[in-house]
Amino acid sequence: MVKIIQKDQKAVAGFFLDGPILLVVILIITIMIAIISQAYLAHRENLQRKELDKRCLDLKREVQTHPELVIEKENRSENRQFCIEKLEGLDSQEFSENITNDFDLAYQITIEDEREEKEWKFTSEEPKNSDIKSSFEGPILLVEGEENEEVYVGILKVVVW
Amino acid sequence: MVDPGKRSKSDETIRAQKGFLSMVDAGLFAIMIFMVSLLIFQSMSIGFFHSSEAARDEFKRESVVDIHEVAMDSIIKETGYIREVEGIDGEKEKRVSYHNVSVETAIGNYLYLKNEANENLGNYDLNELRTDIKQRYISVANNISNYHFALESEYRQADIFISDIDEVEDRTDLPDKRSAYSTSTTLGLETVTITLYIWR
Repeated sequence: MVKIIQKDQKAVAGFFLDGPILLVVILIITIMIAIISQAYLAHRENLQRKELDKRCLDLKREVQTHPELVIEKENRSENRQFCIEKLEGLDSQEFSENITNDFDLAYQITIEDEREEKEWKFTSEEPKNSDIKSSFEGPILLVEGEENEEVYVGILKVVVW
Repeated sequence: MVDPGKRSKSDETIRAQKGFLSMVDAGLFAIMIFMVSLLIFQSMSIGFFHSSEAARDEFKRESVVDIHEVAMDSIIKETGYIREVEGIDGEKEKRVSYHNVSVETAIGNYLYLKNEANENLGNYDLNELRTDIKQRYISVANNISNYHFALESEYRQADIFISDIDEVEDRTDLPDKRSAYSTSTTLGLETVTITLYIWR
């Protein structure tokens, strides 16, 4: 009987002694879970961003070679040489129907002519601030007139989200 | 008869030691958990930084191709070179040639004329031509894409090295972290390589 009481006393005393240790362990495990989940979220966001970057470049390459947008010489589309006449006759809806109908992400494409401060914008929907976006901006040529060609430098901006 | 409420001194010492050992155990456990979680975070972070670096590199590769191709295809409206020649009456006269040419043609002309000048076949002032080529690259590389650049090519005894930074005078001055893209053109029967380097 005495022995049983002694064991019980030890057990109660042991619990109180291990209390702070248990707290430390719980705190550490919580911190560990927080760090790992933070790292996982960053990793997942990065994977999304990487995929978006790839799709952004794909769209940019598609746009800068598309026969509905660039000039053609000897039945060959000239890379990065946009035809001003073709751009003038396009709106966002026609752009999405003819050029980006296979593209399943939201996008905004802007072509700027610095010389005349002209701008052509084609967008699938208005971007929200919260979306993860990928964008690429590069130089292009803008060609005006079919016979007496005038060539100007412009800017192509592609944003996808 | 032993009083169960009373503990012996040796019992308390043993319990204190056990308590101390438990704290040491918990401390070791904490260190181990921290190390494991930092290791996981680090490995994910390395993956994160590596992939974003790779994405940046791909964008940079795309940019150098765009800048070079667009600059080469763009048109210089007015450019020229000055050649001093002896007139019939013995007086020196200057002839200025202007072209409505692509930058690629201008680079070809520059190299060809400079090579001729090196062979003492003429005396050309090619600064205007060089400045026009430089301006075209400044407009495309600096103003639009926000990159520094250097353009390099050589043909026989002639060469061209243009950069937007005055301190960059040849290839040895280029920074290690740069992207490069080359295109070829033909001068006479020779193939000439023109290389563009960009960096930030």
